[in-house]
Amino acid sequence: MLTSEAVNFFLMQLLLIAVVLILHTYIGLHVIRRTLIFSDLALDQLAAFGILLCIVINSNEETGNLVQLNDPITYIYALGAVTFGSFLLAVIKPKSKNIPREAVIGIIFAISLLACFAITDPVNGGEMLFDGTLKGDLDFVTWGLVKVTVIVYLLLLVFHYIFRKKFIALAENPETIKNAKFWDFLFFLSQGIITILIVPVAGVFLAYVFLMLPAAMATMFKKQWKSALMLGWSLGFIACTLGLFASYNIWDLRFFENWPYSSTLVVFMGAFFLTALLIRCIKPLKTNDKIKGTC
Amino acid sequence: MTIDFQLIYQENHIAFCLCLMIGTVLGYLGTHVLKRGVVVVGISLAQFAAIGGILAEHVFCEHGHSHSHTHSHENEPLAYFCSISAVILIAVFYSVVRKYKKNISLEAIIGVTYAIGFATAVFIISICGSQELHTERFAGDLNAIMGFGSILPCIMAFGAVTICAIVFHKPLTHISNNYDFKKESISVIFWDILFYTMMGVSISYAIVHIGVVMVFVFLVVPAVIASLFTTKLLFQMPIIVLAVAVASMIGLSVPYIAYDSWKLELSTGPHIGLMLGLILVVAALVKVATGHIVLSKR
Repeated sequence: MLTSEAVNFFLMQLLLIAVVLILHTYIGLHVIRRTLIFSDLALDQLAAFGILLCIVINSNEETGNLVQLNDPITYIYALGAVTFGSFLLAVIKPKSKNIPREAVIGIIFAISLLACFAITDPVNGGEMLFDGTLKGDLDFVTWGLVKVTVIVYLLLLVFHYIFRKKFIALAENPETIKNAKFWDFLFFLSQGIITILIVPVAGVFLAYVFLMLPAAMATMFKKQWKSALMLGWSLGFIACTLGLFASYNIWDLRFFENWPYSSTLVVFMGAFFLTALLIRCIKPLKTNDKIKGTC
Repeated sequence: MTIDFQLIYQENHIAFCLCLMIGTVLGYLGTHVLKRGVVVVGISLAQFAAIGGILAEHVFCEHGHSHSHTHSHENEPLAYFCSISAVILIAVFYSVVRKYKKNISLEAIIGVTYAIGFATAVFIISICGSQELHTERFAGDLNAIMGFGSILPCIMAFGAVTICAIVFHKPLTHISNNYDFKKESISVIFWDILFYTMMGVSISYAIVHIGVVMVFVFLVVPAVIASLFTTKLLFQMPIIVLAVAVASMIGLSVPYIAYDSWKLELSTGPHIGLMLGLILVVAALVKVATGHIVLSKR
């Protein structure tokens, strides 16, 4: 029997997951169709860099860390870092076929990760801080955070709905867009803002998986944006709910003891993804669900 | 402030030789990776090699290794066997999926499996009772090198990969230059398997010393720096060696200078990676300033 505290915990978590998955799946569909696979990981890692930089700047040997991973001031630093990252992602588009754009994105991710390591290395407890940004902490989920997340995500959803034609054109016919770099920057910035809210809770890799996996599953089955969004959200929500229950060990089974929060969710979503991939490899695709140039 | 260069040399000459060897071979493989447009595959293979090592450490070894912070036990043949097996398995998976995938790019599948691979590594470590990720898995632990004996398996593996690279240079380069057109023929699949095996072996041995992210950095960054200046491998290789040598020299010295000056204890791996990043930025700025790279307004 669940206690009222546990019910409150699950309600909070499930509401957060449900809200987060809508925008993540939608942006993930863009990322997959444009093959900017590591762009989100790069922005997630930059958000983590901003958070860690804030903590390191505000720490000293006598008083220790004055700022914690989820303090409001860390979000400002993270916003600065992702804005800079969005600018780099929008501007750097190598023309040479010897240097793919994915290489630039991958390098931004790797250098950000190494920078996180380098700035936390000399700090007391730096390794724990570094671990914290990679793994996240579900204890940071409060009703306050859920409310802020819902408001910010709704605003971003409205923004993406208003300018949907521009963003969809970036994915489908980029040559038809004027000021493509500006729209690219806005796209990456909106992607960056959602990473700021999700990284402290979910960690860098779960945040990336939230964006990529539901969208990847949906892309394999649906071409239309609306139906792909609905399918991705549904599959993602079911996988996350099962992962949450397993991580909390709701069934009180010895098998599920010590299952960590974020990686358990990823493992469940990974199992769904591999099943979807297997089905897609075996089952033929309907003609109207085929995406041009990918089959 | 005086810098004791002799001490830095004494403490780091083995790590420097190791970085130069790993950086040169991975840089060569990186030129192929860039031509083939499969950049993300490097970090994914490295992640699965790490999972092999973690499985060997936490699941197959039963002698209390799980809380050790050093990776000396990872020199054991079992760890190498598990790493190489994991890399070959995932490479076969990508080869099969590439043929049957629908509606989704191979890069997306590789990116997603990389994240799943990372989460699986954390998952295995956590359910085995350890709470820390051990950051040296990302950026290596060059300070743990205790003489040439400790890097001997790595030297042998990289020696074998170098011999393969020299002997099979022509077919590998031919396929990389025409990767989109030739991927369906049987001989190409054979050379593909050879290429990924070379990558798998070098990555499996390299991550023990330099970590997952540093493997990716050594694979991609020197190759991109070289590609900014020339497309010919003959001229790319000296640029790769020079970039790796300069970055390793400075990256290995930074922790000593920081300790001498401010008593800060720093790891070496990330600073080598950051130096390579800095060299890349400088190289790109030089190319922009000299008008060789034109920034498009679109």
